[in-house]
Amino acid sequence: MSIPKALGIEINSLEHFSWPDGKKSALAFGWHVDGEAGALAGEPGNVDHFTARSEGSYGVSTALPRILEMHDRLGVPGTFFFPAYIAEMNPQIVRTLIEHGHDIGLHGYLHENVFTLSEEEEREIFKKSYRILCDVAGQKILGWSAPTWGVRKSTLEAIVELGMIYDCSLMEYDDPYLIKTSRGTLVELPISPVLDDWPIFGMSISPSGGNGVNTTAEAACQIWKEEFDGMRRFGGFYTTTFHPNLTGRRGRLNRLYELLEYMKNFDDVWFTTCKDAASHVLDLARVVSGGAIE
Amino acid sequence: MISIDFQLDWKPNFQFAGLIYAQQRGWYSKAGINLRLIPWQGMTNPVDALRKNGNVIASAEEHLIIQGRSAGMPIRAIGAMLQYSPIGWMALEESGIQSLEDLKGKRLGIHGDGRMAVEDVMDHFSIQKDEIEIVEIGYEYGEILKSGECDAVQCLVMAEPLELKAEGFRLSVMPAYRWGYESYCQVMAVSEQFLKAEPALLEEILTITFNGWRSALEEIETVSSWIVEKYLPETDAALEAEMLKAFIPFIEGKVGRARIGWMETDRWERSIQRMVKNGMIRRPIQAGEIMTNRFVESIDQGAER
Repeated sequence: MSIPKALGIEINSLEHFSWPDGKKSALAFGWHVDGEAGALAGEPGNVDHFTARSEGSYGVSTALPRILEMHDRLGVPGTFFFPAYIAEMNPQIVRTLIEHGHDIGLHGYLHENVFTLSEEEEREIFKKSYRILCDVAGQKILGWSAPTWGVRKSTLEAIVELGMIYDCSLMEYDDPYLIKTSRGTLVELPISPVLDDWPIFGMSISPSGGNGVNTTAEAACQIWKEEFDGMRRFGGFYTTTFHPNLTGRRGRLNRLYELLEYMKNFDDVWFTTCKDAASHVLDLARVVSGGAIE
Repeated sequence: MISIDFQLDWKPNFQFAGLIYAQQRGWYSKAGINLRLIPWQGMTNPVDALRKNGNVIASAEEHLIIQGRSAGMPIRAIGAMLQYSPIGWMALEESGIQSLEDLKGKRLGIHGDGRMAVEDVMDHFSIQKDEIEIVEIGYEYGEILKSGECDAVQCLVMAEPLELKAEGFRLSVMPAYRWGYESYCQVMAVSEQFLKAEPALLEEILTITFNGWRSALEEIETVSSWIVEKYLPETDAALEAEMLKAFIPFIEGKVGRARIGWMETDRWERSIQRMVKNGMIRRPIQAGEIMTNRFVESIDQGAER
């Protein structure tokens, strides 16, 4: 355990971890549907910076429909994390994703990094964004992924307090694990920068940042394929942090189709959503604990 | 403190509200019992939990217990949490379908686990197999009904109809038990060894459990919030409460709240005969071999803890 208990949380990996139906590993495709929220959160002055906003909007209006089509066509479920502001502006898209069997997760209100907020502000934003996303989705939202990977003790507590069951932001293990907070227990679905498309393709217009246009989709897919092959050898969980405005570009999505078609060849992998993976982990935890989640 | 594993045949949700209520009130631990609720895991038979040495109670549908006993497992049913199976069928209200007889010449969508119920009811009403087209379906019930792919679909009557009604569907719901499908569910079974070694302990557990059920049905909101807070954070307390309310007829059946757990020997006999007839068991057995009401009989079910 590398995060000291003194910091107020306790991390427990599950012994004898297993996946359903004898699968050796699990894959949950994750998308961060940031839309314009990234640009607006990064620089409030971007409210009338049309270029910066349109770069994000491309992910929602142009890329997301064909991403949905790809998931449907290949029969691969996805998990789509929305800043509540983006969900509020695009309710029909959220409902369509749900109707197609995908999972919806929370991703802040306007893609805030919690380290820029006081704990009180953080709690208020959590409450507001959670309520909005539940209203738009018409169902209970069960998971969260951190904008710009900002997570602290109060963040995890806020997630549990709202009744969500998983966080998808930390990185310690290959398999999902449990985090015990003062407010209850949470499933952690570990991510990895290796499976994040921002370091590879990310490019922010304002404020300027990233240098992603110099990398080919072929190189990116090679990295993601290596990680997939490694997972099949060593086991574990695989979730992506893809952004529709980045990997949803035509040439990149074209390559991603090929990668998914390759992945679908292996029936020892459980293709699932973050929600179902987390529910499975809770099932395992309930077996160990004797019913209640402790 | 004596440890008991209670193998559930689903997740610890409203279907086990009585156990959860008693556990959260600390009734088992006050009696010196450390009761562990073991959730069902996919592709497993809960009766197999009784193969383990030790103090295990399993919750299972009656036909799984009959099959186990017929195959030579020394197991016995000691009480039924549900008097009837919650399996049933639902159709759009506008279709006018209100019974299986109305489905003659139409198409019914089922899953594998629902075949026995539908065939049993068809047999009961002398409906020939070719009079209703039965097809296996997925789980998009609303879409299947709306598109006309099926005229009616299988459901658990306290679950899917509530979800679809919340989405605006107007439905006709047909619980199979109303058409003569009498099958005990969530039946508590133990090994003969456990039964012989610890009768007093089993009676104590059943007493607490039945009292837990009665109290849970009096305090539906309380037990539903415990389910979400302590056991199933992925679910919703209001929905659990609604489903528990819809579950009450299955718990009480004809025996009522005062006789929760009671089992009719004749019903077990009929189920065994049906399974023999359908080739589900090879060796016929007597109901007396497989079930006992001795604990339910000796418990003063009117007594409050």
